[in-house]
Amino acid sequence: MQGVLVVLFALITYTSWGMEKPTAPESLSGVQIVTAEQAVALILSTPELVILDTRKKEEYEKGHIEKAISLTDTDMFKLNFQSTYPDKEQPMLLYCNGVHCLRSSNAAKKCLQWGYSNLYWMRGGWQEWMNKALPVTY
Amino acid sequence: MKIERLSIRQLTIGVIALFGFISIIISFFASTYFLNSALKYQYHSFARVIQIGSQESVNNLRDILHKIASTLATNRELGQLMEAHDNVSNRKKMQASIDDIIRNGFVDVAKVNLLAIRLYSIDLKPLVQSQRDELIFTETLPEIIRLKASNRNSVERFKAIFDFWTYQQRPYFSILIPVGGFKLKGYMELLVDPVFNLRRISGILQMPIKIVSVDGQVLYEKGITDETLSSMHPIEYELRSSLYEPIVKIVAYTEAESLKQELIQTQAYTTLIFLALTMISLLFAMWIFKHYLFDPLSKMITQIKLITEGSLQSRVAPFGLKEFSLLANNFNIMTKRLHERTEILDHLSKNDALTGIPNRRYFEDTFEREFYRSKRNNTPLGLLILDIDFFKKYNDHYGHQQGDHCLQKVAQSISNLLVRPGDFIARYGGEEFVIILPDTDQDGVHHIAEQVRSSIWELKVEHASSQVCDYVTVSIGGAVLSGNNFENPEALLKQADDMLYQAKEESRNKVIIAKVKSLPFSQPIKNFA
Repeated sequence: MQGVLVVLFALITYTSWGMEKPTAPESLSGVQIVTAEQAVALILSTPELVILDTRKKEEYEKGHIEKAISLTDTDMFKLNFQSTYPDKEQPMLLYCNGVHCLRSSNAAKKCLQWGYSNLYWMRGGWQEWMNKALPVTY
Repeated sequence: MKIERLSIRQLTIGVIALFGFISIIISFFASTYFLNSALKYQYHSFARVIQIGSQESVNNLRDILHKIASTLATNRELGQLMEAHDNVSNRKKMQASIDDIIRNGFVDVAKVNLLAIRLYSIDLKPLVQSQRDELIFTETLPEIIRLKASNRNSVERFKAIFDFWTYQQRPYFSILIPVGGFKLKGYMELLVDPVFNLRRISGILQMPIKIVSVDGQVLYEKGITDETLSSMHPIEYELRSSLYEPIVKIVAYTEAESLKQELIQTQAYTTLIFLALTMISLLFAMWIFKHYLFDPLSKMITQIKLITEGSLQSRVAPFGLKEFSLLANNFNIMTKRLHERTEILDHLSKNDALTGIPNRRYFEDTFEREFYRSKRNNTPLGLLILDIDFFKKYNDHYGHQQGDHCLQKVAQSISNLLVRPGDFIARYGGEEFVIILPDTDQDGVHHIAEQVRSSIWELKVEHASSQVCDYVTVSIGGAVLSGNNFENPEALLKQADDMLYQAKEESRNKVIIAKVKSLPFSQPIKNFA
């Protein structure tokens, strides 16, 4: 009887968790989390910065950060990526839609896995950028 | 009004009526208050809805304008021109560029009412502004935007600034956006008419609306008719800039009349129900008061009145509540005590302390009453006066204590003899006694007198100093009322007394009854001694 209850409880908790919106991790070890302002400062101070917009292509086309490259996490492949950015010290800024989007964190994880060490992650994403009315290009 | 004139019943009815009146007044005011609060609350929620609707359309305006401005500000050519804005030909090109945007349109042109485009240097100095003859604007950046835009750090200055502002009482909405992306070349201001976008509120709220400028001029209205104005309730929301400067007033009309009617109906029902409940409660209270207070009280008052007017032997029956029972019981105890005391006093005032038989005063009352009654009924009335012979000598010889004892014995003896109802004996004074014999003729009177005389003699109380006998004896005088032979009781008494005197004179231990004049015969006097 007790076992049944435990299973039932676990099921209910699991399903209720499952219904919540996915949330990006609070932090990723080896990745520097930045706010939109910090991202701007980074852009201004780091000319060689690579900005990766991991949102869908359609979203990218409706506005993005100046000089950002559209590359969804699912389109990131090791060999391709490593050949494009051979320098593992290459500073990279990643962003997606916002805290309820997992694309940028997944992309950051991939980069970490492949040995990139100079990673910046704008966790607030495009939502934060737009709320702060920062420059947009099309 | 004097309080003594007021009965408990009147006072209670008055107090209850007052309570009823007050509660009705309170219920009316309370329901009016609730009605107003409900309406106020309702209007407040409407105001909130309008506020949310307005905010929604403002946010929408902001988003659209940001998008348009971003598109225009990323124009590479414009950025290059602005970099060298001191160049006169560049200025002309800049002017032509923005005039072209105004004149020939841009992406999302239909979504806003763009009034002007102005360009500023990095340090916010005005460079050029689009030409539209019919509009005159401030030459410089609106104050509110300038305040927000100046003294910003290297990161903050990339942020676009939005706000409302007014010029000559008219509302405007501006966005200031950096030109040239992260290679900042200057700023572009887009200036729009916010009313164009605020009109959307009407669609969002589905209510007739009116947008009014700060000087009260109607800038836009939709769905407002004379009927709207008369039957609907206006709810205002004041749109303000981020510095709380009023920009426009948005007035939405809500169908308040039906709600008000419904609430008034509810108020009427509530008041009526309250009134009915109050009346029922008051009637019930009145019934309780009547049943347990007034009725017992008036019954008790009636009984107490009866007691006051009549006999002290009556009792008050306890009614109703505990207090009334207590009151009745205590009153009864008081009445009983009073009755007992009165009896004692009555007895003491009517009877002789030594012999226990009625005293002279009691005799006088009784005698007068009996005299006139006999006269009225035309019945005979006998009166005897008797005196112990040589009683002074008896006292001298045997002492006063023995004398008192003798008097008691004589009184007791005579009392025992008088067995008929109505016969009456009293101590008339010292050693004198009187006997009233109602409805007794001369023969009867004589007979009883003789019985009395002989019974005293038969007591055989020694009397050594008596000159007539060895024992105590009595002399008796009597008279009889028969018809109209005596005018008043005093005359009858006088004659009896005279007869006693005569008996004493003659021989003592003797009975002499005056002859009744009207009688044709005379009774011979017998000597029993």
